[in-house]
Amino acid sequence: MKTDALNSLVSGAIWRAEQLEAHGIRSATQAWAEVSSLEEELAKALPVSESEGRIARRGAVRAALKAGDYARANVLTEGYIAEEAVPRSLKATLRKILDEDAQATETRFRYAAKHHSLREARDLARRFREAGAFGLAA
Amino acid sequence: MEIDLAQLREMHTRLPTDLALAMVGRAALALERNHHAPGVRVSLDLERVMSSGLLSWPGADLGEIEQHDHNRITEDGAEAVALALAHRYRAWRVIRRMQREEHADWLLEDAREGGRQVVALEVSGVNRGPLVARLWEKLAQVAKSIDVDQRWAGVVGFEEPAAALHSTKRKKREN
Amino acid sequence: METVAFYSYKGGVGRSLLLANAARFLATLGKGVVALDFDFEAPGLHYKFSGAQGSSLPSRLGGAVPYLIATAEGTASPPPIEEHMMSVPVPADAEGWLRLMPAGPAPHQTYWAAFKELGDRLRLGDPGGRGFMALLDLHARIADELKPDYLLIDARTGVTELGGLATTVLADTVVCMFVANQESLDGTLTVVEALKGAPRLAKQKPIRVVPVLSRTTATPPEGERFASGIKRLLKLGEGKKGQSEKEPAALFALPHDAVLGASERVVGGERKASTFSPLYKAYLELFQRLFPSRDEPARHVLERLEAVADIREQLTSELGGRYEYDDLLSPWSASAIQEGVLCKAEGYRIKGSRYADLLCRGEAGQPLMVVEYVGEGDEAEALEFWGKGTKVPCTVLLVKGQYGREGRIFTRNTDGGKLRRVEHRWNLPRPREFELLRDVGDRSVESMLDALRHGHIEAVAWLVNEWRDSSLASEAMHPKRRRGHWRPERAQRILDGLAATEDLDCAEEILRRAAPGGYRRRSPGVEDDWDFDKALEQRMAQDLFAPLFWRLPVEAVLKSMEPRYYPGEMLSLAGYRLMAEELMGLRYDPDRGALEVARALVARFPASHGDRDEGEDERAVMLLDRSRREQKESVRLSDDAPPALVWEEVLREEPYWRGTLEEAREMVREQVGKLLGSNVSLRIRLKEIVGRRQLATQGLLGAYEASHRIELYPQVITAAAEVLGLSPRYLKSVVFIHLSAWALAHEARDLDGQRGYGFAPSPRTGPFDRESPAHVTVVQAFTDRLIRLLKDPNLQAAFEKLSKHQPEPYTQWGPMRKLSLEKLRMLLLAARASAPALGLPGAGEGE
Repeated sequence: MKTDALNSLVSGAIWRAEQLEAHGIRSATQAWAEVSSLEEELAKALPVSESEGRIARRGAVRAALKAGDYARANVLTEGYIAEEAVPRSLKATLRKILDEDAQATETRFRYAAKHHSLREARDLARRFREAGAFGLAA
Repeated sequence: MEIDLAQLREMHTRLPTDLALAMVGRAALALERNHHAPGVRVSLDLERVMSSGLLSWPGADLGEIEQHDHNRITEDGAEAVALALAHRYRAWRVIRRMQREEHADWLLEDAREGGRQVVALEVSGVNRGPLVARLWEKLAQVAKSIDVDQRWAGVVGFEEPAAALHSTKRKKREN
Repeated sequence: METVAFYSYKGGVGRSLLLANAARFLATLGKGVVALDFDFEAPGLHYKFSGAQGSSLPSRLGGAVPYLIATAEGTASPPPIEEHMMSVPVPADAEGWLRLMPAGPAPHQTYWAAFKELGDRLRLGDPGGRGFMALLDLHARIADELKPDYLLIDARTGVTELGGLATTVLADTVVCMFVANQESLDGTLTVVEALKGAPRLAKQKPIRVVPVLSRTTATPPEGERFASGIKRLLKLGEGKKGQSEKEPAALFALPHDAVLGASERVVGGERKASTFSPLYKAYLELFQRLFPSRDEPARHVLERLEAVADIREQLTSELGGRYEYDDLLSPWSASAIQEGVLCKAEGYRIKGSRYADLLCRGEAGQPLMVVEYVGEGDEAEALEFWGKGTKVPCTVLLVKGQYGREGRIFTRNTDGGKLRRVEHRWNLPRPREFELLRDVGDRSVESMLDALRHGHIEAVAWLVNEWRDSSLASEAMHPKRRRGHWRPERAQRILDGLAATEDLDCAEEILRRAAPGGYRRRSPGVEDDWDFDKALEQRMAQDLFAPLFWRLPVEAVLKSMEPRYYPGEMLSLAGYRLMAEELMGLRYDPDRGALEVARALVARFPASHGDRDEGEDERAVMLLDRSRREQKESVRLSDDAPPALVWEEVLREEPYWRGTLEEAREMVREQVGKLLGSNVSLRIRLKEIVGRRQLATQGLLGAYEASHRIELYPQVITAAAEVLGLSPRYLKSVVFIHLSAWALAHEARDLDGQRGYGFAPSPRTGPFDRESPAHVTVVQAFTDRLIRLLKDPNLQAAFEKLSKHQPEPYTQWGPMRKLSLEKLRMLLLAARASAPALGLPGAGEGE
């Protein structure tokens, strides 16, 4: 798809997601998932050497996190960091985005955060996905 | 300078039509709730160069105003005006909207002088009161944008129609 | 905060009930507890708590499910947790608290809608970790804001997401419940193995697993596979510690309890003995293990319940035998005992209140006895409260002494005063004792005699026992039971006290108990560990029964002569023998006499009598039986007119009348009847007789008849007593002694087997027929000797006063005191061998 069309689509998607979020509507997460998807397409179409390419890459990860899809955000980040000729600053920024998201999550679970790290919880979640309740499916 | 919001979609072809319509519609509401009519004189502060222009828009139905969020009327309306002004002032064209975390609302291209630069534009609206404080705030915000060539802040006021467009770069005063 | 999850692979094992009991137990014993219902699919924990309180807990729309919906994705402003909790009432004296976070307002429809929404929102698999963070956040918030000591989680059965989370992630300890079948065991083993292998969060201790077998019955399941499964469980988890280190750990087992389990009553922390049941006991043992910080209190509760239940059992049980004093006292009725009473101090000397484990009340509802389990607590404090703050006459404190559990009894007078410890007493007062004794702890001779004086017949058994223990020297005591020590003065006090009894029922009871072999006879089949041998029986007969036979009211004595348990049982023999053998030097053996008659009969009539083929033995038995029956009838209180009065009346009518006594009776029947019928007239007549010094014992106050029967004339005796200013009772006894002495002088045998013919009863054929003065004097002397031997001042006084108003032969006993007993016996022998023995008329009478 041509970048113009993608840019147009992503503009509309971002605006919509922001409107939904501002009104506290639950489907905002799905809207952000759409934004992430469009940003990802833009990132594919635009090289990392271009500023728009970098903006798109950051946008894809951020939007995935806003959509609550940490896994996707993680995968995208890993993918972008592994790209050839990706600037160090972008790598740092992408990692920072993930870190900030983790901190924000911990803030939203402030009682749990006093005793446990988000990493621990994500680790548990991973094991849960792999092995089920009680770890019996492992 | 004449700024016709009805032309917004033509000015910025990459703007989705529904988005452009929504923004223009809110701008119309923002102006008309302040009892302005299309063709109102608007004060302009373009990089500290004061001037004025004429602002026009498609008529609004104030009866619908309650269906909209008042802040959204101001903000989205401001974006319509600022984008139109940015195009009239510098022939910039919208590339795309940006996510909040990029510290700017819009990414535009500046294709003058044969080159192409990308511009980050952060816009805000003020329904009543002076624009200066908001402008400084927005300049500080847009200054954080990365991966852009220019960083601009635009603030639009509606009580007394006014618009300011400043970049974060301090220029020498042109003689 | 320690988190304990209650889990079971299958449902219906009593998991929620156990949790509810554990929660209440902890709260009652001073801990803050939050109970959390994580069984979202089948929530029910709130029912357990509402059932315990007898009313439903207020319904709220909050709970774990709505809370998690609001916080599933995290929020800067979580809802107030209070809106999702409810307080569970605990006993008023509980030192802790209990809150419940139910799953939600199940079974209301709103709950199920919320439950569905939670399924959409709470994603435990979320790679972002928000699902897990939400649950950890709830856990942490409970700890940080509510600060309970324990969080008890009711986890879902089976293998479920939340069940896994509650056990593997949140819990420090998991109680895994199962029932005794292979399916339940296998599933539990699988889960326990998974639990032990599950990774823990960074700050968590290794997980504790406590397997619990629930709803056990007397019949354990069999099978190698089951047994090895249990073994494996115990290896993985914690069991009940053995008594010693060598003893392997055993599984915690909760017995099936049809009452407690079915009622779903939450009794955790209860201190009432009535809640004590095998299931509750098992709960407490499990809690000791689960909550080591409450090990002490759990043990204390258990000990307390056991102790109080034991006491309650003692208080309400009948004891086996019926011969000891304590056995005679009826137990407390269940309705008289209140459990778990918080008693407020009365008066101003002490303030506050105290918990009585048992409060025993009298018939009028007045508190008589409190039982409090103090354990290792402050006994003095308890005593001070009950002593100064209440008027209860008896306090029993159950303490943990050096040698185990001890019941210390403290009593005081019903009038009040300080509570004093009752030493050497192991059984608890019974309700009757509070009527018997002013101070139930005072089992002194004086207090028992006082009870006896008030007509409390139960005191007799105690007094007779005590006499036995005080009077029998150690060499005569049974080797198995050497108790008491020789206290002759005490024995004498008891004897004097018993003898002073006025109440006829008590007097009868005294004679029954004092009678030789009384214990065995009284309770056939009861094992008497005193195990009297013949010598002991004789001692009791001689030293207790015999004196009492003469000193107690005659009416009671006559009753004691009735054969009780088998024909021919002659309880009176010991009494007569005291007179006959100890004093008179004669042998009194009616059985021998009967046997001699039997032989004589057989000799005279060798053939069988009638159709029955009776041999010598049968005739002997029949005669023996008849002889003993006659013995019983040989003494009676008669309403007949005394011969002396009859003759008096006859002489008044016709001074020169001649006839038999029977004819005379017939003649003056009406007059004598009138005389006897009017106490005033009788007294007037007796006054005249007294004035003439004709108040003879024989013929007027009583008579030893030709039929060998002793008759006493109670109406005349009573009137005479009034005239003389004596007690009728003691006068009667004196008359009885005199006439008995006469009868023995006649019937008892000397060394040659001869009877005392000289003392044959006078035929009384005329108004002036009298007994021989010499014989009267001799009999009177022996009467005096016996009374002196008995050392009864009342009898002595009556005897002396009576004789002062009697004809001269009755007064010569005084000078005869100078004679030795030997000399007196010789005089008796001489008087016995009078004319009839020489073949003169009257010889062979009765042969």
